[in-house]
Amino acid sequence: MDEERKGTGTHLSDAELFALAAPAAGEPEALPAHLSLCRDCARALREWKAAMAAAGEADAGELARRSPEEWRAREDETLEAIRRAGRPRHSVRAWRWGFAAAASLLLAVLALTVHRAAPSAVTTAAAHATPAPAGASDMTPADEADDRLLRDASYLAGGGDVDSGSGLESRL
Amino acid sequence: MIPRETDSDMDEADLIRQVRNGNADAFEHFVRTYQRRLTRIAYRFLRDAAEADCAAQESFLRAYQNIGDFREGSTFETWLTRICINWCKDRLKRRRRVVFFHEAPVRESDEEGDEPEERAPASDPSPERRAMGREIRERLALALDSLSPRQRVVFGLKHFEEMSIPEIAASTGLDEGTIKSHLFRAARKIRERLAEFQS
Repeated sequence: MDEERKGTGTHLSDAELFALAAPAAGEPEALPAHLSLCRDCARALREWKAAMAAAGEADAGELARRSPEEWRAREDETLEAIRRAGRPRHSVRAWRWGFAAAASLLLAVLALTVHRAAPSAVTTAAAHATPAPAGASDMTPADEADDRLLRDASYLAGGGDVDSGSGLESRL
Repeated sequence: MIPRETDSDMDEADLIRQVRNGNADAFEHFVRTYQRRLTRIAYRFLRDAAEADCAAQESFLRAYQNIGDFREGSTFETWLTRICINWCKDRLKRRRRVVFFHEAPVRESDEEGDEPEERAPASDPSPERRAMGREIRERLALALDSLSPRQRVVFGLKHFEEMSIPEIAASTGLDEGTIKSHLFRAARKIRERLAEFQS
């Protein structure tokens, strides 16, 4: 082959033909004008492209010699394994969002509890120490009863004791 | 390269939704379409057909189980290939065979007549033509042997599996510049070897 193409100095070298058959990166290079004039080089380029395909097959080792039936059998094995695996897992991203939402909710509840427990303990203590005079508030008796109930609930939620002199026992 | 096996018009996004909703049969399309190609890609890393089969099957299984994590908008094939290549890398690490990337790969087709003759153009089957084709294939095989294993893997993904540079980058986790650099160096090395043979 080389003997055919060597000697004129205008024929494409193996390296040039390889570069045309397997462009290093990106788009194929423009074909040299020589190829349209030289049948030997055009034929050699076809051989180089065929050699590239053959090299791909050779590089795939024994896989290149597998029959369609053998491939099909392996695909069937994979499908069987998938059927045995059951349902796909839920999305990790969805799970993360769910976890984040639950954590945020928990933090909000904790913050609210702390916020409500702290001042209510003070007001509860103050209320027990100096009861508000009748008529000092513009609340109706029903509102006052509700208010008292809520304060007692907060007091208990904050760790207050029923029989610690708070008067709660009598109200209950 | 073994072509993709199925109808490219198949709406993969719709199939993925079906799989997410528990229809395992909808996954068959992906296995029939990509298993051969995936196995070949795994083989380029592992150089062992049985392990390549295992890599492909495990990759499908992982893809199926974690399909909820697949982001629509990217291609399923690239995602699947990335899973497979990561599996191969883990396998190599576990077997302490990272050295694979620094040792010469084993050629399995050096025997006379082992290369697929049908790959030679059939239009001119003259003995002279066959001899020419064989001579080119032998020189190309020798030149390919001069590549480092990493260059060879990248070269194989590009030219034998016909993956684009962005696909290779997405699948291997390397950036495109690195891929281009490997390809450029590989091509230069092959051309140098061919020039040596010719001189």
